[in-house]
Amino acid sequence: MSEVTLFVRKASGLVRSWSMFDAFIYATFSINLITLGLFIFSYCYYFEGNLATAVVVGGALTIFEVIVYASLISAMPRAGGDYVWQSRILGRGIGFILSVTGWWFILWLWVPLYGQMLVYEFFTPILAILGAQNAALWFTNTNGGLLVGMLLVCVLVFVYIAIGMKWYARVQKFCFWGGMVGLALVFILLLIGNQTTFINNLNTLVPKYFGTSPGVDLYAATMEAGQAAGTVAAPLGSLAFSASLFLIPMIVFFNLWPNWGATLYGEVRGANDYKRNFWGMASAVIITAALALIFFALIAKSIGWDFYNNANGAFWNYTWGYTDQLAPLPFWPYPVLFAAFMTQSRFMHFLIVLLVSLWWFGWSGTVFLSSTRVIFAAAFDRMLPEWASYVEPRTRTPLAALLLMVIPSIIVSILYAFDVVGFRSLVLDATLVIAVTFLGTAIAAMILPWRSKETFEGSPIAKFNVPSWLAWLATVILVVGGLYMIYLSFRYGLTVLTNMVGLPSLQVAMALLVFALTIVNAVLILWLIYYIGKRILAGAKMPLVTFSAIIFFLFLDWLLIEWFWDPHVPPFDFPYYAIGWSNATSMLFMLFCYLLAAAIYFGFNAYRRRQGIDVDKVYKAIPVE
Amino acid sequence: MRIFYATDVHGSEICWKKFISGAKFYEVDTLILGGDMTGKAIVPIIAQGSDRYKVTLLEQETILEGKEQLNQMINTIQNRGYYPYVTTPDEVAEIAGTPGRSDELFVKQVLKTLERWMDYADAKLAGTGIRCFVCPGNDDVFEVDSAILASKTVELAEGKVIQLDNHHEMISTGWSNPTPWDTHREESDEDLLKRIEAMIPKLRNPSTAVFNLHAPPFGSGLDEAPELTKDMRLKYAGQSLVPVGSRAVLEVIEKYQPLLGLHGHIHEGKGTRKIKKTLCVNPGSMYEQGILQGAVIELKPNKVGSYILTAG
Repeated sequence: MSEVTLFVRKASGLVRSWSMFDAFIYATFSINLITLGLFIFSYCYYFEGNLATAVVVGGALTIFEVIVYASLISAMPRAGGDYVWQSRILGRGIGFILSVTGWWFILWLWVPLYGQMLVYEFFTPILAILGAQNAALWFTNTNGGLLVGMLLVCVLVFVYIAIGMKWYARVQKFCFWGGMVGLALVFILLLIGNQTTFINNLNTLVPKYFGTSPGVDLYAATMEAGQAAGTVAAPLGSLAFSASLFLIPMIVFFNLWPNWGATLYGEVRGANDYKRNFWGMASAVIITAALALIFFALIAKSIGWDFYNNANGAFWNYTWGYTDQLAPLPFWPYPVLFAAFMTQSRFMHFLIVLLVSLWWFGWSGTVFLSSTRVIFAAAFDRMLPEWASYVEPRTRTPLAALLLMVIPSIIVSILYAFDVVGFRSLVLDATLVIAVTFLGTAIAAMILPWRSKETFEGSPIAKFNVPSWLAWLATVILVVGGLYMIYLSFRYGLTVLTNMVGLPSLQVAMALLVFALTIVNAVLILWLIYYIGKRILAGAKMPLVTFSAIIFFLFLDWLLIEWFWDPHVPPFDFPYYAIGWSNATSMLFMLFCYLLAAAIYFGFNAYRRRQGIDVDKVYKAIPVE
Repeated sequence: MRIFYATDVHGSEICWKKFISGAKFYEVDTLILGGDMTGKAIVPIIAQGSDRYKVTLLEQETILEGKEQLNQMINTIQNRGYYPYVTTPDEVAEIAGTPGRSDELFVKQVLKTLERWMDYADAKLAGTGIRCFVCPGNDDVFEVDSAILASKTVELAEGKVIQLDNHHEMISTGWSNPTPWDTHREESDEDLLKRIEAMIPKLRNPSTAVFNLHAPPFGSGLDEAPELTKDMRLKYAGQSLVPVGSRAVLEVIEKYQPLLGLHGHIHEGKGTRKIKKTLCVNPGSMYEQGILQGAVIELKPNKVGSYILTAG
């Protein structure tokens, strides 16, 4: 008989662990290959790296993120995520500012992005297949069409909220299975198809569906237009390791989010629950990366890797206004549609696009559900007016929270759809701001074992320590890596600052702002080196959460340096990521978000104090004699 | 008057101590603890001889060497909300093999802990003028009531009308609507309604009263819990949330519109909600992490003044 280690009373209120496969499904939706993945892959034609290499390396680094989040969830479940972890460990101000910017304000930009994907991956192909050619092209190629797609996202959210979390969870599961069937069909068609079939069908079906001139070799024309657009993507078979590293700040747009689907509820019974959360997220990262590699290989086999990248180049070159010549393919180069073109059957085209679109429909609710949680948390902390947490009693709709998302999202969608002041260049801002939030969480996780000693030592992760040699290695990595980040950021910064003559004053101001952030970053890194180094030198064990947080922190720090400085292509007229100092719209938008968050924080702090509410005590531990 | 309300401490020693210390920290004159004071399990610490002990906490086995490590582990277990029990391999086998033995032991541990808690409260609160009310919840065995009654400073609030100050009264019940666990103090919503309604005629003015009702109102958002399968697993990996609160509580709040509703029961349901004129509060619970979630509420004669949810 095995030894009894726990006597649980009757009527304990405890639940059994959840299905890891379910956890995998929700994490997989979060790092959505079809929506986020295919969208950002299409941007990468002008990089000399290899997408496959970037996906593997980026995915491997994301595993450390998974460990960090699984650990924090295990130590503080039901805690409201980043907001409470950071507030508790780093301080209320940091927790508030980083969480409302990362999980509320920047989601205003995600709405137009969701809308753009809805147009490219659903409306345009489906309408074209159904014979509504003009409508199909209107959606993709006009500002009004894109805007309608974005507004429909806002309408859809009311549907999700109306059905509630209970039914949304079911809808997601249904969409996962439907989406997987669609993806399987895509893979099968690519496997049994070949390039000759694809080229013939492309040249027949595109004129039929999209009204292009018949008799044109669209395949050859696309290749030519892509080359003219500057397509330089590495062949799939070449490792191109160092060039591929610069692709990672692009593809994290898709794979930085496995934590979005993590299980935040229930009582953690022990280490097995930690492992469940870890494997739920990690398996999503691994399997999604594997699916991406398979997809790339199949695209290369039956469509042509060069064609795929040139098609992207041709499309974006026109869409971004670098040429006024319409791309030979007047629609976003959707690999799923290309796969469907392995057959001439209109029914199969329709079925495949419809099934694969379930990846979008199952995923799209998260943008509003995430922000609603943060708005409510801020309202409960009295950092927003009470009405922000108002719920319409009859329909149980969080009306105020929805409006606080929908109204700004509509404004940002208009700016984005009509590319006002270059708003369409802000795509990666949507990742950067959340990466800053994650940076805060990574720091919180790194110092958790000492900063919240009792919470940590009473948690299931308290005994997960790395061996001392690995602790030393991690400390060395933190020192060397941290100093390298400081060096890199200063090197980039000085390159920019010493070549700014003649640049507009706004850009100069932005460069100086980023330089100030560089100094702050350097101080932060040095403090972390001191904080961790002192403890390891004194003989402390290094918990796994700290080890993982060190790697995750350095990864995020590097991403931020690359995004903000981005001095890859002198004389700074074509940066890789185009959201840093040289893009004043991007910088001002992000600055606006952070200043707004700070204004709300300090404003409500002062207001509540005048009301006699001591907001400083909200997250302070009660001292016990 | 200023109230500090917390709930669902589930046997966590540190949370109880924080609750009592909360009076000074938050500068309040009244402490109210909602239900569910008792822990969920006993953790045997099994002697191995030579001053060594083996314990498995949170599925992690540890060997303790000496009294200091033993005492540290006892502390950790208590703060986690479990009951540490130093024992021998033979006794563990005997407990496991004898039906009802672990329940007996459990009740003993609960009462021993509660006596310690009441002594702590008496020592800290005596002479301060701070009033302290507790109301056992659906998870609490009935034996706890007598332990609370023995205290000089902690008042048992279940079923009573309590005069909080010149302007406010409070009614309390820790009973809940049915749960999947067939807990000690649960009953149908019809019976719960009768139980609550029985207290209300004794109130002078329900509109300025505090309704300290453990179960949150149904559909208020303070009662959303993960949906469970028949074998008690989280459905859809916890992504599916359903309302599990009490319709009886909702009905009395909508009907009488007290000033304040204090609730607990659903640890994930942290928040506030206005139901007609009533401010309903569920501070939630993170007792296993030793974090005492609560609410500091200022009551004015005819309205709620300020309030804030805390995580101490």
